[in-house]
Amino acid sequence: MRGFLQLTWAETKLFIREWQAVFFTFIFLPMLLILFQAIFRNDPSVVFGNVATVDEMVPGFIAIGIASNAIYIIGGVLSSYRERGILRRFRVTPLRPGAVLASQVLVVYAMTMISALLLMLIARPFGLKIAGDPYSMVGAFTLGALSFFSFGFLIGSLFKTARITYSVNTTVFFSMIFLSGAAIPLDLLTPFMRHIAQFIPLTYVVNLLRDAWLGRGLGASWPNILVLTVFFAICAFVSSKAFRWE
Amino acid sequence: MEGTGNQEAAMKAISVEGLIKNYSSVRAVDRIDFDVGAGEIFGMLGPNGAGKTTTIECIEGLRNPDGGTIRVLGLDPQREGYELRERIGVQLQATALYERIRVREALKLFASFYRARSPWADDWEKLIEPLGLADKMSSYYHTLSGGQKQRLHIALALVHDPEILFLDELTTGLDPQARRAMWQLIKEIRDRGKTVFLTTHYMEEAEQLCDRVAILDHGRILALDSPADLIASLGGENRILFTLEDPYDVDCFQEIPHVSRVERIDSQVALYSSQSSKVLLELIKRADVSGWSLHDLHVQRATLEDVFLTLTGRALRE
Repeated sequence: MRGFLQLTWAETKLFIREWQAVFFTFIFLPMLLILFQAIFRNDPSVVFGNVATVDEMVPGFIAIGIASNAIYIIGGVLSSYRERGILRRFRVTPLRPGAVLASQVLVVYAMTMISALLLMLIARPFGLKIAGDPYSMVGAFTLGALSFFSFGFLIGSLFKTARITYSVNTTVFFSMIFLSGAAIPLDLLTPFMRHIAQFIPLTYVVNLLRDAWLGRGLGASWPNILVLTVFFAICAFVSSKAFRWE
Repeated sequence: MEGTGNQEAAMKAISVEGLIKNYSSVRAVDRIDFDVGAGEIFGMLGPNGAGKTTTIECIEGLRNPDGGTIRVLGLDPQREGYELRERIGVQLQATALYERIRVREALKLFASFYRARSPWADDWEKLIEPLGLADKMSSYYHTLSGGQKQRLHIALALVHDPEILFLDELTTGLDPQARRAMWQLIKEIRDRGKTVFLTTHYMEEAEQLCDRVAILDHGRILALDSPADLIASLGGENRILFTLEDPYDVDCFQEIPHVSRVERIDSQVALYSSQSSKVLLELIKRADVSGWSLHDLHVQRATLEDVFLTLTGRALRE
């Protein structure tokens, strides 16, 4: 337990010292939100089904934060630790493998949560109204985060080198951002692309978060919950089979 | 009688019997047996690919052997791995750490992995000072030099005051001065009552540092003894070396009394003999008669290198 806590503390400091992660999570996303606000303004928009732009956009950006941390941090860090022999070094100590994974999840979860709160704080002056109750929001956020973290572990387990993982990550990340409705409303896409979006896991995170943030309740969002739970189970199962310490 | 048996077992830090490890169709370790006594520095010497790293990693529990038994402090590294890892310290051959972790943080982190409280927890300087890292406590890992990183990894292997220290190719990549300092350090660790198990492909390291050496080649132990006894097993031969540019006939060296063997590499000649002073006198006489000028004439005592050469017919360094 002491090992787990110390490792979590160390991973927290390492996250903060990694400027790319800090920049993307805490600076780039909020800046992008401000930029999008300047472009779209905050009128209730037809493309958003008459919901104020900012109210739609914040959950979408939180989903982008989840996806980027899951894919780049969890997926990337894991394969670079393995490649550099850090995981192997841990294996000759009494530290349990589960502690390494759990501390990673905990740190990235907390950082993603902070970035979500930051986005909501920045969106307030733009007139963000949050209709959802905190429990549904935390629940939706947690399911979205955990399902994507297990996806991150899957990517980190499948590929041999951090370099390959990085290329795969970038491809996966950008196709998800643009095809999930997280950055661009799905109604702006062609019907064919909208069809494709149904196969993008992030779409369900975006929908689930929007339902929670806009106060539609988690009951109405059960298809998203179902899809993400199955997605979580598949990724967790496959990555636990594919995972290698070296 | 039983008491003696137990005592004997307690004196053994590591015992390996019939260890086998295959990689697909290649047998990397081929039925080796040896014991390591408590409190000794035990070395495995051999060329790259001899099976040293495989052996050490089987003992550490990182690899699952295909045959044989291993006991470390009486524990099975595969079945009782977690218990064992509380009591051993390991420095891996190629190892890394987080780039942006400070030395102090790394020490604290690794210390937290063990049940026992680190004896240095209140004063890390005491652990790190003999390793020459006292002024590096706040430095990031990536700013350390190769030698400093290596020494930090030894510190990390020592944080929990382990009973056995494993070192795989400890001084590879260090300059000669750093290497000697490292040897001194390892001896001090042994003198504190620890057992040290190391692998090396430097015969000088094995000779200077180890109490006992196992010479490994193609996954088998060819010889196992103290460096002095291994060298003595060659019959106490020394080597007389000189350079000779003038034309000569090899036979005229071979016929010098007490010369057992002659070796030539270009213009360099080596005469092997257990009576080197007599050979030397005779050699100088003949040089005088023939008008040769012998350059760089000197006598070298036999080394583990010669032991390896005798056992395998090959030089160690190739």
